[in-house]
Amino acid sequence: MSGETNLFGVYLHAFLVTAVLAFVLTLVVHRLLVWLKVYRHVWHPALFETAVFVICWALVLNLPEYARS
Amino acid sequence: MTQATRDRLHFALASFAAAMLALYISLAIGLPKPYWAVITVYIVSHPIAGAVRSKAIYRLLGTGLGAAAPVVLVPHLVNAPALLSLALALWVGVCLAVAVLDRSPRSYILMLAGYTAAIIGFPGVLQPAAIFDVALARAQEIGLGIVCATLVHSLWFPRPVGTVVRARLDAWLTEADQWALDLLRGGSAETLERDRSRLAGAASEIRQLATHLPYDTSRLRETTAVVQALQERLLRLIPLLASLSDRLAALRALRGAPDAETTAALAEVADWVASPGMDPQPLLQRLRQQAACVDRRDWTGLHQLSLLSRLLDLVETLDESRQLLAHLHAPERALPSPLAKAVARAEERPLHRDPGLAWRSGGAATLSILICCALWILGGWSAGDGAAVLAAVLCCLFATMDDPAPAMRAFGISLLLAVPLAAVYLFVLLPRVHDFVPLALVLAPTLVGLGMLMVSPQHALLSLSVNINFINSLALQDRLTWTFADFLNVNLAPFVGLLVALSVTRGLRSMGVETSARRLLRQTWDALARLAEGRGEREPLAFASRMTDRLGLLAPKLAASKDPALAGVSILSELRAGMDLVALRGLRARLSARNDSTLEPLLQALAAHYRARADRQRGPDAEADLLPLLDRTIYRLGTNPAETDAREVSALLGLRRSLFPDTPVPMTTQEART
Repeated sequence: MSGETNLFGVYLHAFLVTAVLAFVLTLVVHRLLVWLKVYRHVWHPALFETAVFVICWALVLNLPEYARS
Repeated sequence: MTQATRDRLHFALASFAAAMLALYISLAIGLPKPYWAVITVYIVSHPIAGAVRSKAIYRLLGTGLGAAAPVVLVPHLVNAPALLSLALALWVGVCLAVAVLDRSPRSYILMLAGYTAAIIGFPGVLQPAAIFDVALARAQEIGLGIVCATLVHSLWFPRPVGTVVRARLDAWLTEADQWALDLLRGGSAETLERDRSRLAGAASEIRQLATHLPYDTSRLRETTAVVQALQERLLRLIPLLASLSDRLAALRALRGAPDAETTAALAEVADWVASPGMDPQPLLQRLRQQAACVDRRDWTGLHQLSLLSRLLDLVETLDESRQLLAHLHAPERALPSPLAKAVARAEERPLHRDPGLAWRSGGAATLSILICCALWILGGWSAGDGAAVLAAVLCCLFATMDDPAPAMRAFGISLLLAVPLAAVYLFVLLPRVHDFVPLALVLAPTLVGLGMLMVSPQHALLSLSVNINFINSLALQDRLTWTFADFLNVNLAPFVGLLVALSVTRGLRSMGVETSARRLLRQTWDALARLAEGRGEREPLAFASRMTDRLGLLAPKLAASKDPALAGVSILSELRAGMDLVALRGLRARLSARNDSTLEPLLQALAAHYRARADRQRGPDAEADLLPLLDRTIYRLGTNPAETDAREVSALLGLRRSLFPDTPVPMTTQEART
């Protein structure tokens, strides 16, 4: 996973693209967790969310690997 | 170390950490102007984490929009610099005007879109080919700063906005309880009225704070709708308590002392207010019975009915507020079902807006930028773009103030303080620094020190400006070498921009406390006139929200003004009149034709009255007609229990009391007939 992604003729750094994808994914997960009332049992919601984002980013970054195997 | 000092140090260290993180990343990935990321960190940082997060999202959107504008404009107009300046100046002006119109934190989007376009566009005029890269770099630097600030402030022991809002709501309701008790147990309420109108200001502040709640770091984020519902109760309580106070005074004026039944009711309600947690249902039942038995044929009876109606509303609203507050403290306990439904329906209520002022702010920004551009392009001064940029930023930053001029002057002083400081760093300290860690250590004393000052309200503006200007003139580029002539030329430009912005603002935009208060009052009366004409807001709470916001703005101005014409104004009485007009409009919908023809002329006369006050001409003829008309309507509708309920009688009486507080009522209702 390296280099740049071509988006309508504009070259963007791959990290930027995957981070935005991961952020959208985080938002979806966040909504789901709010609906399930999970946050009542979380000590530090902001830290928790950041961790969720990092997990999502890792998932997005490694997606090609999973797809191959 | 006291708690306050600890909070300050905590904020300063967190901001510094975020700034260094942003600086490190932007140097590492080779962004052209790393200091923009550092400045952004300091602009977004706020002691309350929720506020950083909400600002962050709006700012990111605004930056994106602001970066897009010059990318579209500059290549098309690059051969006509004058036209390009005009286009950019207009863009900033329009963005700013719309941002000032919308007073919620959402307005950051357009404000940022405005001055980011100026920041990117003006320096880009000289190198139009690179405008895309410049815009992208600036957007990345600002975005990086925002992300770093958000991350550090929400992870490193965040101070959630939820608990702050809850504490404010607690304090507010306690004060409202005290107000109610003072009234019910017979303190003299009129002397306190000015004091009480402060509650309107406090309600507005709570509102502003609560807008950050959906972005909070605490669990209270999930209770946003409950807070909204509670705010609606607060909005209702202010006019309610004011009119209760008024009705008590009216009854005393009429009879000397209230009769035994009323006194008993007052004592009962007072006991209920003083003992939280008591079931209000038996009390409400008794009050309703009492209201049904009142003899409506004379003025005393009508006043009693009105008082009872206000007491009923008070008990209901206070009870609901208490339940909502209890729910905020213990969210796991469910709300009773009618209240839970009200929470589900709660929505955002509108704020006061002033289009005239907004367009003037926008116009001032456009004009200042154009003057700077004239100096720059026509005068052939190479560093002139810096002046145009600063004029744009200054006009935007302080646009919401009554008089932005003193703040701009403070910004100028901060420039004077910051430039020598930056010079010391640039020519003495930084040449000896060749690595990131020593750089951070050298910067630490200044940035942490200024960061600590940024927490206290009276130093916030100056220290933030010194900080921004310091970093800005430091211009932490990758090349750390500067000639003194460059340094001087670049640092002269902001002063020119400042002077232009200051003089344009003083000519076009500044208004004193008195002018601003009079303007707000005129708008209040205009809103009342529109309401009587049947053109204003349909939703009572929307009206109350706008009105309370206006009164919250007005209260400190009235207190500060020395104008005797403003001294007699009672803003709570205007709010009461507004709520009464809303009630009368609800009544009109179901009146029979005969009675509707009674109410219609009254509403027209009221509209004419408020219109005249808004236009600053008080016709004595209209006043003389209004009173008998009002009395006649009260008699016709008030003695007709089939068509009017207690609340509407109360509204009519309330209007009479707001408009003619000192005119005694006719001895019997029969007299009013003639």
